[in-house]
Amino acid sequence: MKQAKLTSGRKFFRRKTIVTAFVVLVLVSITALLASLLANEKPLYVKYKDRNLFPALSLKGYADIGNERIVYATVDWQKLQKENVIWCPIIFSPGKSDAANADYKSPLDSQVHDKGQRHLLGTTRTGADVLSGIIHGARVSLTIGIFSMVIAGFIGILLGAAAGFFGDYRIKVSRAGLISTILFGLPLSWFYGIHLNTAFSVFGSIIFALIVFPICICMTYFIGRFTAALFGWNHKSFLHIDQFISRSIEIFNSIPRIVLIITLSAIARPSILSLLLIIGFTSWTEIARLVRAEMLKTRESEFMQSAEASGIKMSRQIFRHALPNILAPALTAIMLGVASAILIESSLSFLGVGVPADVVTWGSLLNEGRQNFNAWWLIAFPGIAIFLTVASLNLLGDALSEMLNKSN
Amino acid sequence: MRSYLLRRILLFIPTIFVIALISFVILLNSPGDPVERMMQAGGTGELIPGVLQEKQRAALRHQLGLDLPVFYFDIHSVSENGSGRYIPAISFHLHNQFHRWIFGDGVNTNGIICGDFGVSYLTQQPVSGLISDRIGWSLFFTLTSIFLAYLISIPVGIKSASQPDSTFDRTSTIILFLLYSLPLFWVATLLLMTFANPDVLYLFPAAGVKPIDGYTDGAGIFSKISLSLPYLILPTICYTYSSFTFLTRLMRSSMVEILGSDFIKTARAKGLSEKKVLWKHALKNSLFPVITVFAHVFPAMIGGSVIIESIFTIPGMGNAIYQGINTQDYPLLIAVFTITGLLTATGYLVSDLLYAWIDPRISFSK
Repeated sequence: MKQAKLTSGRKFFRRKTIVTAFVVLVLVSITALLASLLANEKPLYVKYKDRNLFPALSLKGYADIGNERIVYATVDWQKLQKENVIWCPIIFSPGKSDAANADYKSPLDSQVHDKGQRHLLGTTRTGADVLSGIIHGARVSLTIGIFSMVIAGFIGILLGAAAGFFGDYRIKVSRAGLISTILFGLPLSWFYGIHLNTAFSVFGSIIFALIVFPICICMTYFIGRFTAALFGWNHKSFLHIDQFISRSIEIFNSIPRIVLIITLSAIARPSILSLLLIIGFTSWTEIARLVRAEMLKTRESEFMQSAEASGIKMSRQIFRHALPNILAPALTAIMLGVASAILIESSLSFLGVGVPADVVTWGSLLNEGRQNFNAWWLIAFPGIAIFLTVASLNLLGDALSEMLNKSN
Repeated sequence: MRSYLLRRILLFIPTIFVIALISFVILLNSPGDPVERMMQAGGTGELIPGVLQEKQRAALRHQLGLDLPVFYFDIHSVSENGSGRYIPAISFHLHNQFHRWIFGDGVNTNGIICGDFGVSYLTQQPVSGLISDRIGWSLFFTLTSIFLAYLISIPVGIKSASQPDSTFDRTSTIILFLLYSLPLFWVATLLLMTFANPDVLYLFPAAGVKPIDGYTDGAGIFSKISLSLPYLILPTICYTYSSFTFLTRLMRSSMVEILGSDFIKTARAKGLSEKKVLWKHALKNSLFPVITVFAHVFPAMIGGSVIIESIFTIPGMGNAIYQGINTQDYPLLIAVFTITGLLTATGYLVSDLLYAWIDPRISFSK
């Protein structure tokens, strides 16, 4: 009796922590989404010379009133002769220096508050507001965490599902086409897709490579196949998809991921986009391995065999029957992946790599704290932000995988 | 089993090839012109007239092998004079940058296969020399802290697995979970802030691995160790901490799994004491995954070393990466990446072979 009570109490405690973690994540996401409305030196709403302006929401960045142009980024909103104004909850922009409160003002110190608001979590050396930096840092971290895992999840699910579903003896291709692809297709795609691919930005280059690679590979495959067919050579061979992908995963796993990410981001131009691409393209192996194992299990299950026996098209077997069953386990890996991507991003910006220097992130705030150990607020608050986000993600990921294991 | 071993060892060849290929492609795409960087670093850029400068540039290009094609192979017919059937043949030519980078050309470079990673942009010294000065500290910290992590995590894991749902188990699980989610660089900064801060507690020095003015002349090995010890404690804690949480969690789950298996029930039914069941039957079997995971701990530590070594200014490989980034010294970066990749790949190979030796049922994941 006592035992039962104890476990139910523990279950309740566990459920409570999971709910807390979920709430933390929702709060962080909302903060990230609304960052520029929550902490911005531009007001939400200004009435100036009978015109209604919404500087914090504006994408244009300026307004013409009569023959006067107000540039939102440079105008001094405090001194402007406005008739009515609604400020953002925090009236400081991230990284904007504030000379009156420069040189590490603690949240407990007396501050100069000529703007009518204190720096609630203190300031940096240049007087930039820490709270505002943390709010905007949430946006950077979550953007990189989520979008890099969207990329990694896409690659991982695609490769893992292909390896698990097709195995080694399910796809037959023309042997001549295969040889031609390996001999000509891969060098051609390297030459056109990577070597000549210098004219674009990072994103453009990747899109270009993604277009060029399939074209080169398909072309060489069909040319090889039909040329061989002309000479009457019609041998077929199995495409060992599983072998190939599994070995690639093993090879890729042998490369120290963090060192690879650091090296790549030192060479790429610092931007959030290139960082999330780098993290995304190097983190798919764990997801692929998990999806492959799940796919192998699913393929052996009875409903898949009956689907196959009833002659359903292969694409329908994959997308309607197999994939929905492996998405939940993939999701746990993706969740844990988001946590580790956020950790990697903040370590990189702590080192000053990857994210441009003018973007304020949790890691870059911590890095500023490293310059002056007396500024405890610069170390404590961003650290707590990282910790809470990562811990909630890990907790939810663990809880999800536990739930799935129990239901199996 | 034998076929597994053979295939696993054969897989090592493409692995190191891919690592070399990735490093080479990164090196090719690193921004800036190496020749310009070399001339700037050599300080001869402005002193000589334009024509000579061009000549020097060309000489440097040749010396660095940049006048060669990147990859070079062609497809031609085996039949000589154009008569007869077309028999395609593919031949790789050795005069290309990739081949030169790996095997060297015997004149200017010996290639990475002999450990020649070129010349650092910054100091004009061979990169390999820079690295061999530094690799010692990194390996020292990595190996010491892996040893310490095992030393702590195995007993903790066993204790919490053998008494599931006890107070010890619950608190250790919660603490480990919290530690697992703490960012390593934050922990390191907090440690420095509390224990190496003249305003709070000044127990340990904040940077370096030995006193600034070096060891005293004629100091014996023990006095050297005692001089260096305070410098080593905080970094070792950080190094150990990062793998300790992972290992303890693994040890616990592995032990729980083994304790639920049939042969443990048999051992208990035989009337063996709980102690004997735990230490003699369960421990041996639950240790396998924990020990063979060594290879997975190793790359994580190398990754963590970049952060730890740059925070504590330890003259190791991780700090070399950090300096390489700050000074845009790409040959140094690439060299560190290649070497850590090789070390990791070797670690994985060894751990897989160990695993196969312990558990001969293994095959290539079927």
